[in-house]
Amino acid sequence: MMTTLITVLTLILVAIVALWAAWPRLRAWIEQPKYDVLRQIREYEDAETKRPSE
Amino acid sequence: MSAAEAAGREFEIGRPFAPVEYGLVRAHALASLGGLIVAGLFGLLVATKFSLPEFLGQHAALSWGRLRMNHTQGVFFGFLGNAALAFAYYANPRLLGRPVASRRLGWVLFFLLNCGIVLPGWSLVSAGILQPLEWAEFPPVVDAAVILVVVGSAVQFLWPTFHLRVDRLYISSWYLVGGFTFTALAYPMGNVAPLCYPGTQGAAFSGLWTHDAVGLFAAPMALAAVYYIIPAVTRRPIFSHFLSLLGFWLLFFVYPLNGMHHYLLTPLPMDAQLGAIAASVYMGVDVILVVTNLLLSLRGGTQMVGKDISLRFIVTSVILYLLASVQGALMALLPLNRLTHFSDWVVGHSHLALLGFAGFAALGAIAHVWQHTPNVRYSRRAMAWAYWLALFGLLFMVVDLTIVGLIQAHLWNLDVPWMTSVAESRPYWALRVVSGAMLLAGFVCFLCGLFSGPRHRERVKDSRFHDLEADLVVPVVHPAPPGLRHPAGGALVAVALSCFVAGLVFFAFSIVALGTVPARYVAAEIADSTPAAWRPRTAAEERGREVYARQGCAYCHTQQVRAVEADVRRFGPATENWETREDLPHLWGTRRIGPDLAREAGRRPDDWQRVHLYNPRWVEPGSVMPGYPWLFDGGPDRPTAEASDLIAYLQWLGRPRQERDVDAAEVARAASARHKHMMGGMAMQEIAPISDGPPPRLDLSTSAGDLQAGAALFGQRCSGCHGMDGRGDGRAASSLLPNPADLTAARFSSRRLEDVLWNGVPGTAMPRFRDVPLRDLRAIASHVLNLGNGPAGISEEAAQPPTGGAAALAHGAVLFRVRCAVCHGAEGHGDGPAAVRLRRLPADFSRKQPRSERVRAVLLRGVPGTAMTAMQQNLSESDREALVLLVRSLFEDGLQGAPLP
Repeated sequence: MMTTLITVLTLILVAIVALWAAWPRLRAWIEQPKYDVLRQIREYEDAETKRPSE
Repeated sequence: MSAAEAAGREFEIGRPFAPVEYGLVRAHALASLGGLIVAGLFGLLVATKFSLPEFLGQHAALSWGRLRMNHTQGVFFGFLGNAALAFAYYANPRLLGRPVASRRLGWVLFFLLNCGIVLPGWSLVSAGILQPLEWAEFPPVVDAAVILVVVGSAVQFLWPTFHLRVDRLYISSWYLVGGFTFTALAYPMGNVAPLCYPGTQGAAFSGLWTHDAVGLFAAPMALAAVYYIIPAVTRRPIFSHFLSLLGFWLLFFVYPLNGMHHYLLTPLPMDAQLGAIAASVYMGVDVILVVTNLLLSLRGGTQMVGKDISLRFIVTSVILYLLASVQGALMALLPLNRLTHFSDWVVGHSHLALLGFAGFAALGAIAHVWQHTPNVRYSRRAMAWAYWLALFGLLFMVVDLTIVGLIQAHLWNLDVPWMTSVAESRPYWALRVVSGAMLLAGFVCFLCGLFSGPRHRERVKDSRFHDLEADLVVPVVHPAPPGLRHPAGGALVAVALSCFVAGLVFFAFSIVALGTVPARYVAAEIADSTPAAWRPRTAAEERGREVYARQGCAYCHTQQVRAVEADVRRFGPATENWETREDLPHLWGTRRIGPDLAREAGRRPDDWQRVHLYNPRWVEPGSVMPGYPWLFDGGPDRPTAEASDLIAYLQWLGRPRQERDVDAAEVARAASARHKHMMGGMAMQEIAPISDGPPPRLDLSTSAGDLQAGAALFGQRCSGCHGMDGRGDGRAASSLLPNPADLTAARFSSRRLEDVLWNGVPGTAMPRFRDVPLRDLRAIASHVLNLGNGPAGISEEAAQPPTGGAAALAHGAVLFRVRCAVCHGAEGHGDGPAAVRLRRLPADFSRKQPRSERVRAVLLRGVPGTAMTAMQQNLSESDREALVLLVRSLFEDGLQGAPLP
């Protein structure tokens, strides 16, 4: 049972990686949050620099 | 701006600055440090007690077991729980652009966590109100508060997620969502199921929770901080968001399947064990993937590791995560598991994982949020000290525990006494105190550092970022591919559908695969293999089990003999499922500082157990076990009802198995049931315990070397009762009835010494010493023989030699037949008709030749605690002298030493 489980898990993993490799737009979409978070952090820091302290 | 970009930036419109609850950030950060220092102090006391077992040993609240429980629960809830919330309050608005659900709810959760869980939990455990489940020791009333806090936190931080209008989440948000969600599910499973399923079945669920506590709470919270702080400090995006998501899903899919690797080679179904091993290896591969992604995320920003203290903590945490996970995967492999399980190696591993990985990530997160919180800054100097003290303390501890773990594992695989491993461990346990003190000093430095930094009224942009800003990657918004957009908000779809559905299904699968299905197989096997004569524990034994659980005995003594040769040879036959059918909750334990107790019944007499519980060093001078004087009314001979119940329980452990094993038909039936129901079936090894068989021949020696070695061993193993000189005046002697033998007052045959050392003396506190190697038994027996032949004995005999001749001997024989033979037998072999009814068997004078003075003393005063009464009133002095002569003439072993005068 466990062997089956691990095999299925590995196949799912391979399928996801294949999908990721074959679909550039999906790849770009998946990677987008790592840029967004930097922008959000920057905006927070800028806002807090301008904002009077508590 | 495209529609997708507009959607992606919608949170900024009209509300560009979601407020951060800095009050809650500060409160949780300080509570986290407070929890860490107090829990660390508990840990330091626990470590100190290995070297000074009687340190603070007069109070139940400060006993080793309860301090240990408060140490781990304090780290889990007080330190990591508060740190996770401090980071979540700081990062969640930044990640989502939305405030948390409610500030008021935040303060309620803060007080509930610290004043409803941590402080009451510590107090209740100290008072003995607890549940004896590892990583789940706080009692059910506290568990209710834990559920409220986890669910409340999920609401607090998931609420803004559901109100997002973006179609994707950054990986830190995934981990926060996953961590709160799965902890809310895993906690009841780990805390309730083991209270509902007995023995082996409950252990399966306990194993799941023990690992889920790390994998579904500590690890996600730590990784959320790691994935946030690395880009925040280096000003560079992480290497691959795809790899981070892959790691996230693998963690949540595979981690729950690891749990059973805590109970390998037990009677749990072997298929489930093998599944846990496979999942553990898979998990190790996943962590390599995650750590590679994180280390690559430092590209171009590695100079910040030296400059930014929070990043230094975080990067160290990542490296230790890799070490702990690879080590964990290896430890799940049977060859290494067979060797290192139950040893200090495992304790080193858990410190590496919980403190090294999760703890350093938490400290890094606290440092980061503190430095970015208005009006407060940390002192770089103090934080640098904190980092180096904590790092060196941790590495020192882990290396120390790993080495001593290997030493213990090696010794346990040899046929040497258990106390040898304790004696060899003591120098390493002393070093462990030093490493613990370094860690605690680091934590105190950290706390001081938070308050000793420069104070700024306004947030000042740090100049160290300026040189990196030119390299900052400009975000490019990529709209969602067709088919992945959702009018109600992509995040809702992504989180609710992906995390809650797929994750929940897999989590449920882990419970079914590693909990429910094995429990079903175990239940069927128990039904088919329980002996017909099996009976439940008595009320006293059941109460004793509760005392055992309350005192935390399971933290040093396992109750599972694994199907491993070293275990079976040392402790007896491997545990079978039916033996645990009433153990609710199970008390299997995961660590052996003392020996396994699953086969304790009859090994040591009640008297010995009483003195051992009162002060273990009185009967076992090298022991590090804490005493339990609060279970007695002032002395070991005055046990309270709790002590008596506890001893009744100890004397029950393994008794049903002993009774079953004498019935060949029942043994065959159990073997058949085992093979029928075990998934995959693991053949139980038929290994003979080292203690089986008749007493061995010892071939006593009179060489100076052997006598010297025997004297040293006698001092270690026997002097607690018999005294250093063997006069029966050790520290425990006055508490034992009958008193320990004065070994200078008699000469023993070699067969008698072999029998006593191998089987003990029934009806007395003299235990059997079957775990002592034969060469050591030979040395001890030689020393004892020498005590009886020693200068003291000869001089006393010479001073007052027995009087009379053949006539006196004949008179003595008549008296002996009339007065003594009913117990001692006609030939003085201790086998008279009344002997079988006596708890303490009468002396066998063919194998023991008491000195004349000793015979006279016994005739005058009797032997307290035995059936031997004083005969002063009924015998004249000449009668007594005749008996002295007769008794001494019965000795048959003339080969051992020169005859006494």
